[in-house]
Amino acid sequence: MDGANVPPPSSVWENIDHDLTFAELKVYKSKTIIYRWAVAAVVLIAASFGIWQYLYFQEQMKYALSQSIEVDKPDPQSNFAYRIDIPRNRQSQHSYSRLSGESDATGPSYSFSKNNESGVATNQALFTKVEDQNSAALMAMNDDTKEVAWDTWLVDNLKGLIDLEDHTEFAKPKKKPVYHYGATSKKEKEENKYFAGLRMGSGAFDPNYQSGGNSLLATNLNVNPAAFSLADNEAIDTSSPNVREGMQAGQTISMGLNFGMKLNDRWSLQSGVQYARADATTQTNVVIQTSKWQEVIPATSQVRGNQQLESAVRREQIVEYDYRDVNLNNQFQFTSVPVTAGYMLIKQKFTLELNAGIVTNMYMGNRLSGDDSEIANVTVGPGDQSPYRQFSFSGLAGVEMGYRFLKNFNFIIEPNYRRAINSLTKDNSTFSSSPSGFGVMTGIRYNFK
Amino acid sequence: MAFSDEELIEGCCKGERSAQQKLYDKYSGQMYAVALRYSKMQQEAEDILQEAFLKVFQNVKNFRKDSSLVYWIKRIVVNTALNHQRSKLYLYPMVDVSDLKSRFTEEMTISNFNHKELLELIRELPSGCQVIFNLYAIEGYKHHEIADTLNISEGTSKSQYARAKSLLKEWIGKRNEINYDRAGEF
Repeated sequence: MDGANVPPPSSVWENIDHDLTFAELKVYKSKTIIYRWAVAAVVLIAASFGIWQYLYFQEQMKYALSQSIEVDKPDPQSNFAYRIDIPRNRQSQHSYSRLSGESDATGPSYSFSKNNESGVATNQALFTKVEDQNSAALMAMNDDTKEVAWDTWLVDNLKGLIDLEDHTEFAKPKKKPVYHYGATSKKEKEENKYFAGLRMGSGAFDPNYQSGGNSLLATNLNVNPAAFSLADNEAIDTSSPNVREGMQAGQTISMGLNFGMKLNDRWSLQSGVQYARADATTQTNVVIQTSKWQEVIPATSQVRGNQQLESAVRREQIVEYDYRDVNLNNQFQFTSVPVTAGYMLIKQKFTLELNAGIVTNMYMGNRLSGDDSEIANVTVGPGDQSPYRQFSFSGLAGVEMGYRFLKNFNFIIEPNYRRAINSLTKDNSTFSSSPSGFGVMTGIRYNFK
Repeated sequence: MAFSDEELIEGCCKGERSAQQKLYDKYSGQMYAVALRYSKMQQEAEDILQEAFLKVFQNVKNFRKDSSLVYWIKRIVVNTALNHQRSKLYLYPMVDVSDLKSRFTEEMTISNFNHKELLELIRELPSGCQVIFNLYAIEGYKHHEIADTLNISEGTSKSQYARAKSLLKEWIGKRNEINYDRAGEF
C-alpha cells in the first residue's frame, strides 16, 4: 500500500495555492496595520515635539522684567541703579530745591533742600547724591539717614537745574514707558560652550603630481648599476624611451571625530581627528620583470627608491625592462588633525559659520595596485626610505552650515577647500605632490556646557 | 529536472511557491492514496489532502531531518485524516478477538488484487474499523498507540481491527469466488 499512487484532482492544488496566498496577504495586512500605526505615532511625536519646541523657545525669548521694587518706596538700603518710572505729577509729595552743584572725582553731586508744604526750604544739604541720570527722574539719598528723595523731573526741569552740556556723563533723559527694561533686565541666555561630534566627508583629490625626471637611466632608479646582469648600456641607454609618468586626480573620503569650544558669542575654535583615504591613478610606461618573479613591478618614481625592491632586484640574475603603459590604482591613507577657527555669521536655528585653519596630515601609507593580475601590488609606507614625508600640512577653508534639530544637537554640512602648504614628498624625492581639492563634510554635533 | 528533498525543503522554507508546488507534485499522489484509505468519499479525501499539505508548508521549517520527508508528510496526512474522522467514529464495544471466527479457514488470497482494488475494499469498511485497520495493518501502529491516539481502550482497538479483518476476508473471498467462476467460463 505504501507504493499506491493516486493522482488527486487539480482543484486540490488550486485550493492550496489560494489558501497560501490568502495567508501571505493576511500577514502582509497585519504588518501594514502595524506600519500605519507606527507612521501615525511618528508623525504625532514629531508634531508634538515641534509644537513643544516652538513653545519652549518662544518662552525662552521673553525678556525678564527688571528687578521689581516698590515704586512708591524705593529700597532705602540699596544704591541700586534700577529705576522704575511712573508718570507722576511734577510736584512730588516733597519738593526739593537745588542748592548747588559740583563735581569731583566721584562724579557730579548736587545738594537739594527739602521744602515744606509752602515750598520754603526747611533743610539744607540733605540730599547729596544724584542717581540714574539716564531717566527723567532724580534720586538722591541722604548718607546719614539713608532717606531717599525721589521725584520725577521732566527734561525741562532738568535743564533748569543741571547744565547738561557741562556734564556729558548725563545722558539725555528719555521719557520712559510705564516700565522700562533696565540695563541688566534682559537675562542673558546661557549657551553651550563646548561641542563634539562625528563627521564624514568626501571630495576631490588632486595630487598635483610633478615628476622629477623623465629618463630611465640606472642612476634614476637609485639602483647600483652593477646589480644588473645586463650591462646598463645594453638594457638602458640614452636611446631608451623616456619614462612617461603621471598621477591623475581621484576622490577622497574621510571620517572622524570633531570637537571644539566657543570663545565668545561669535568666535569658536575646532579640532578633531580624521582618517582619510585618497585615491588617484598613477600612470607609467615602464615595468621591471625578472626571470623569477611572476609579477612585474611598475617602475614608478614612488617605487624606485624602495629599499626592499632595490635589494630584491639586486639579488636577481636577469632583470628586464618592459615598456608598456600601466595604470595603477593609488590609494593614500592619512590621519589628519585639523585646527580651525570659526566666525559665526548667522546664529539662529540655522547657523552659518566661516572656518579656516591648518590641517596636519600624518602619512600612513600608499598602496599601488594594478587591474592586471600580472602587475605586482606595491605598498609605499612611511619611514626613512619612503619618498613621502611623515607629516605634511594643508590649509583648510570652509563654510559650515548647521541646523539645530534638537535642543543640543546640530546637523552640520560644510563645503570646504583644502590645499597643501608643503609637498607630500621629501625634498630629496624625484617627484613632488602638493594635493588640493574641494570636498563636503557632513556630521552631527552635540553641544554641551 | 528532479529536485532533491533538501532543495524542496529549502525552497519551501523561503516561501517559494514553485518549490511548494514541486513538493506537492512529488508526493501528492502517494498522500492522496493514504487520504482515500481514511475516507469514504472522494471529496473528504481531497479535503484531508488539502488540509494536510497546508500544514506541511506551514511547518516545514520545523522539519527535523531525523526522519524521511515522505514519512513526515505521511504522518501529517494520517493525523489530519484522524482529526476528520474523530467525530465520525462509531466503535463497537470491546470484543475478545478469540471469539471471532473467520468464515474462511484457508489463507486469504489477495495476490489477485491490485492496490486500487484493495483501496476500494478498505474504503468500504465502517469508519471505525477503517481507521484502526489503516493504523494497525498499514501504518504499523501498535494497539496501545492506537488507543492513546483515538482515546479508546486497547481492547476496542483490537476488536475493531478484528472486525475489519473479518469483513475484508469476507469481501475478498466473494471476489475470489467471482473470479474463479469467471475463470471457469473461459
